[in-house]
Amino acid sequence: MQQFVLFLFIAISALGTLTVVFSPKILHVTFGLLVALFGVGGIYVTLGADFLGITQILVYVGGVLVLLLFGLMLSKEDPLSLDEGSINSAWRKNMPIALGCILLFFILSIISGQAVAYLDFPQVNGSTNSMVENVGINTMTRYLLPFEAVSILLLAALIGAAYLARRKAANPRKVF
Amino acid sequence: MENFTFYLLILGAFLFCGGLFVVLTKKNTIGVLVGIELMINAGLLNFLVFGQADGDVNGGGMFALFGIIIAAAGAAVALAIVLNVFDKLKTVNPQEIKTLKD
Repeated sequence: MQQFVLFLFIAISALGTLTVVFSPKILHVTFGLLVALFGVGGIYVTLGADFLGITQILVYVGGVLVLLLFGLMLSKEDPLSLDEGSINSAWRKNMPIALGCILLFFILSIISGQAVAYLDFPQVNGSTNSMVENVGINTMTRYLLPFEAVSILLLAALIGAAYLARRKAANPRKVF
Repeated sequence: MENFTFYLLILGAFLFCGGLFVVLTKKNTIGVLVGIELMINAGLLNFLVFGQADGDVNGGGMFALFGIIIAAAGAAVALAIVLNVFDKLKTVNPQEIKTLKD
């Protein structure tokens, strides 16, 4: 049962990635990202990292993706317009990049196979323990400094993004 | 068929290579951001999969959690920069954005 769910989520994630890679329309690319990230979140939950899976869905599917769609609509281009980088005439130009990426995929696959075979790696069996208790204890003891540092980083990113994205005055050259 | 780890690593490699291809070929900066998010997720998935090795300590999971936070902060700032670039240069094609300052 668990491996069925895991393979289902792997298939969902792979389908989303294929949509991102092959769809010529930028709106479909963004929704393909939603599907791919949802699949990865499901894999997190299936592997026992339930807190991480919920965070993934909240932050990515709920936050980053809404942000991307928002930017897409603000940028005044037709969201359903074709992206010239993906239509057929551009395939000849993109062929070396595609071949390089496929080669990289095979190299990574071989390395993964070697790692699984030689490192005597414990098989992923989906621990049933919830991750939430560990997250609470870890952030308050072992990872206290990264926790505080990341909160400073979030504050800086919030202020910086709000400063960069606000409406400019009538004379845009005086801003920078 | 009990070997989940290998298939998850394959999925991570697939996500990373797809994201790399999207970053290198898309003619829209938001598409490039989508590719970057895919690559980040591939890395986080690998952290979690290898983090299963330390059992209930959740070292890999904690690293992936911090990674998600940093990726979200980066995405917010990058999107603000994209909006600014579109305001100034009236294009989002990364190959047409060549000027550094005026």
